[in-house]
Amino acid sequence: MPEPTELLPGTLEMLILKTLALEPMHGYGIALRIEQLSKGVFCVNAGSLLPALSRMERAGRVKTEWRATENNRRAKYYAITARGLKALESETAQWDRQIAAVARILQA
Amino acid sequence: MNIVRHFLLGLKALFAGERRSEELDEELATYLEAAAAEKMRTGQSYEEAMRNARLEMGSREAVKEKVRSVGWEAMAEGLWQDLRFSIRMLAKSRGFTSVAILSLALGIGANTAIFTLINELILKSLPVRAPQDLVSFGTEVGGGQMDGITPGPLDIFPYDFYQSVNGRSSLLEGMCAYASFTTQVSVRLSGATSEAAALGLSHLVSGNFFQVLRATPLMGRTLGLTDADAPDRQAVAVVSHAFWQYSLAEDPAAIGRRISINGTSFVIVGVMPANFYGIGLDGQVPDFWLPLTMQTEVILQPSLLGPHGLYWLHFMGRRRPGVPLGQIRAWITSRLQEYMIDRESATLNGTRRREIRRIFVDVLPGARGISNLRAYYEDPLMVLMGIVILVLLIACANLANFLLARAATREREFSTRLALGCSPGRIVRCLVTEALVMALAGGSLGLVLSFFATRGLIKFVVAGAAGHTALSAIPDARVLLFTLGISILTGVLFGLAPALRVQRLSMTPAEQASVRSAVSSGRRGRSVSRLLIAAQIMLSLMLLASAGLFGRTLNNLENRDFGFSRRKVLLVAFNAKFAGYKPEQVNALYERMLDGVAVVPGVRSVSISGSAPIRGGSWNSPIYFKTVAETLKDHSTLLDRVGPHYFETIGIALLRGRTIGPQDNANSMKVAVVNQALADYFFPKGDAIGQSFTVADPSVKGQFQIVGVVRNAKYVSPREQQQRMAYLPVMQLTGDDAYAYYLEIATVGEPLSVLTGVRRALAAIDANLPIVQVKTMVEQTDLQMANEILVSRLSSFFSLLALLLACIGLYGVMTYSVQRRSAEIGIRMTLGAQTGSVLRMILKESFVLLAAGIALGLPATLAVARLFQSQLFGLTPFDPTTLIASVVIISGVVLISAYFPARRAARVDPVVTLRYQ
Repeated sequence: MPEPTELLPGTLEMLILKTLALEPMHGYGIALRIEQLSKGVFCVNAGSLLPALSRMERAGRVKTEWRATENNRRAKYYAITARGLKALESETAQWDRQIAAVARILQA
Repeated sequence: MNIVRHFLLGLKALFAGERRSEELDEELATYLEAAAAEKMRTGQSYEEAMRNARLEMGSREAVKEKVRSVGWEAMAEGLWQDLRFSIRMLAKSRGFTSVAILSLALGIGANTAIFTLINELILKSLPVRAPQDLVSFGTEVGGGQMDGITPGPLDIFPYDFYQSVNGRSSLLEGMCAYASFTTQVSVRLSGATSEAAALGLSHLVSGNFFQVLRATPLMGRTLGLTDADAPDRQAVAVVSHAFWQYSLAEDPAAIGRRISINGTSFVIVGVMPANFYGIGLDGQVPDFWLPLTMQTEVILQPSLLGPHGLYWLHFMGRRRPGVPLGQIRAWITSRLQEYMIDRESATLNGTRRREIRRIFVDVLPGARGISNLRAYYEDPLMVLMGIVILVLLIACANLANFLLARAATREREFSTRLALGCSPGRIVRCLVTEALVMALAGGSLGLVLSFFATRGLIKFVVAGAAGHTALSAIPDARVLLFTLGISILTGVLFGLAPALRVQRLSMTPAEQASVRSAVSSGRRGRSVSRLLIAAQIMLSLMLLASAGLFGRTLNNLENRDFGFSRRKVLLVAFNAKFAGYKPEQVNALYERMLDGVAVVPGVRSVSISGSAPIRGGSWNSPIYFKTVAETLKDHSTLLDRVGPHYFETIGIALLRGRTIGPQDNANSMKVAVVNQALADYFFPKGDAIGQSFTVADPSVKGQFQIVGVVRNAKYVSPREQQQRMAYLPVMQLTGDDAYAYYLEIATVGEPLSVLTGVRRALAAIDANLPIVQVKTMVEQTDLQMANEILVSRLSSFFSLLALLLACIGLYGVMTYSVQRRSAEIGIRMTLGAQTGSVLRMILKESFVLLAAGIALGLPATLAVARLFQSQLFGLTPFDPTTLIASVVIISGVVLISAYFPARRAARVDPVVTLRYQ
């Protein structure tokens, strides 16, 4: 397993949205999912995840709900909103463009 | 949309603060548990897993803080915390806080008071719609003139000129005319002659006056064009709100009511709203606005409305939008020149024609209306504004110094907070918040103080005006904004000094270890505070010297030889016209009045005159001697009409010949007494006595033979140069000139003590004779120096205040500096320094500051004094007495306030201080 690294700047929100697009999750769930999906490359800690979630809630991209977890604790679940889906779409598109551009430069 | 949601969520978060914090706690707890559960799945023990999870998360509080700081409300919350913290800190040191707030309140209050007056007098527009389109024709301050208009600007016009220009220009939407003076009238509400008449103030205006101003009535209507287009219209009156309120008891049926003004019945057609004061912002608001065409009835003088009549009207116009003033100026000037050439066509020669070509009318923005008060007080108010700003600066410097000292004692607190991770910015914010809290508290208190101060000032400024004044002490939005602005500005100014110090603290943390070491740190802090002290000394010196200059100006004016005696003379203004006396009847009335008042106990002598001493000047006409060539350039002379014993009563010394006595009556030869200046001017070689002259004013008929020469006196203003004056016996004059308006009463003791007796004596002669005003001669002369009195009194008050503040500041800073250096002093004394030398060392510091303050203050004072040179009298801005006295006073005060802390320092017991360290 490679050493976990910090996220690329500006990608956290997009990754969170992507994660939530599959199903609503609580905070640690999101962190874990990002870590798993990136095969341990990215590691997100609470200090950056929770403020980001709070910011996105403010922006109306996610909504929250208190629900019981699988081991019957109350947890705050985050779900993506229509506005969030739209944001995910546009950010993904932008990301793809940037990646393509960087790749072109690197291959030149 | 987004912003709104942000705001609403923020508000929600703000109000749900406690619950939100709990929620966050809970979320973090579940987060931690979930993380631990995950780690346990990989085989870690519970304790191990929890520990690792905690490590990964880091400080919970830090996470919470980060989450919280997402919204705008975090900022607001932070400010609120700062605010509460600063109030707590301020409440802890009550003594300091109250001194600070009080000195700020004085400083800000003084600024607000003067600014309120400036706002009322200078900044405010007329209370009408679209005042910015109003234009005034000339500067428009009072007066009246028959002929002999000299080249230069003209602002006063005859009635037939108004008729010839009114409505004739496409540049103007309208143009109104109004009398250049307001007129006192006698008023009877019921119209019955048995009712005692009250006095009212009226203003004659053209029919379109209100339309041009765009002033709307509260009730009824304003004047209409047809009310004032011919003399035989129905007499109508528009009354002021104050008159309606006080004299008509807010009668809802006031419209249509008849009142008698000078014996003529007028119908009230309108009541103006409370904020309308007419066109002239002066001491007293007119009670009535009456049609110009009622002039004879209102002024009780022959008609001024005929062709080629008196120049007595001012104009105000409303320009069409976008019309430049220059165009209107060109138009009115050319019309005026045409008019004058036509008017003087009989005597016109080439020289005069060229002169007329140089007469012009200035067209100025008229939004502010006109105001004699403004013209009189504009400069002094600016001087006072400068003075109060200096006072506020001193208060600022003082507080900056105190706060610096406090910041120094709080260095440990700040260092601790910095070490605990508080950002320097946050500490600075706290300090500035503290300063702002003080400044705003001081500002609020200052606002209250200024209200009362302004009331006093207004009372002084409108001195003598009996009626309702348009000047108000109630602050309007502009004043409130001003006060808020200067409060914040002062807060930032004096709050910044200690804040900068903190900034420095945070830059050199290594220094912190030695904060209290014997060789005290913070040299820079001390040099800032010394700079502030020197600045305070400089500013105080400027204030003190200015106050001295104004005080001496006033003193020079007061001690000026007025030419008559100011003590023990009472002036009683009366009006026989209002009581219905015809010119033929007044001589008999005068005789009875003089006889009646003369026997009142305490009265030494009594006389009458047409104008009051040092006020008159309203009667000015050329006089011609048969024996003096007309080639003498200027024949103009001041005239006054006086009764018997006038000179004896007011104490004008007779130089040659005789004075006017009871023998000079309507049947005897016409005589005159002239002053020395007149005699010397017309007869530099011969004797004026025995010479006869005629008066150019057509209402004065016949030859007057000079029978006496009296000493020169001041006739209009204490500052005036010698003027020529001729006194004519009032009993020998006819028509309108037969009226005298003042009784002069010389008393044995206190002038006012005879007043009851005089009133009783006059009432016994005619109960209806209105006594318009009573003043002592001192009050009368003071009125001519009101402006100087105001500036002189206020500037001395403020300079004393400033001196006191500077003293407190210096004392505080010296005490503090001595305290901080006590260890140093202790060491010096252990090493053998003597009490005297320590005392000298400390005092030397103050000497240096004093010298620096004076070195800066003297040139600054001279520079500033040159600005108000024109307001000084009898001395130059470089008056050595004033400057030396100010320097001596400042030095004395500074050294005294430095001496006590220094003496305390010198008495330090070295053992005690060293152990204390």
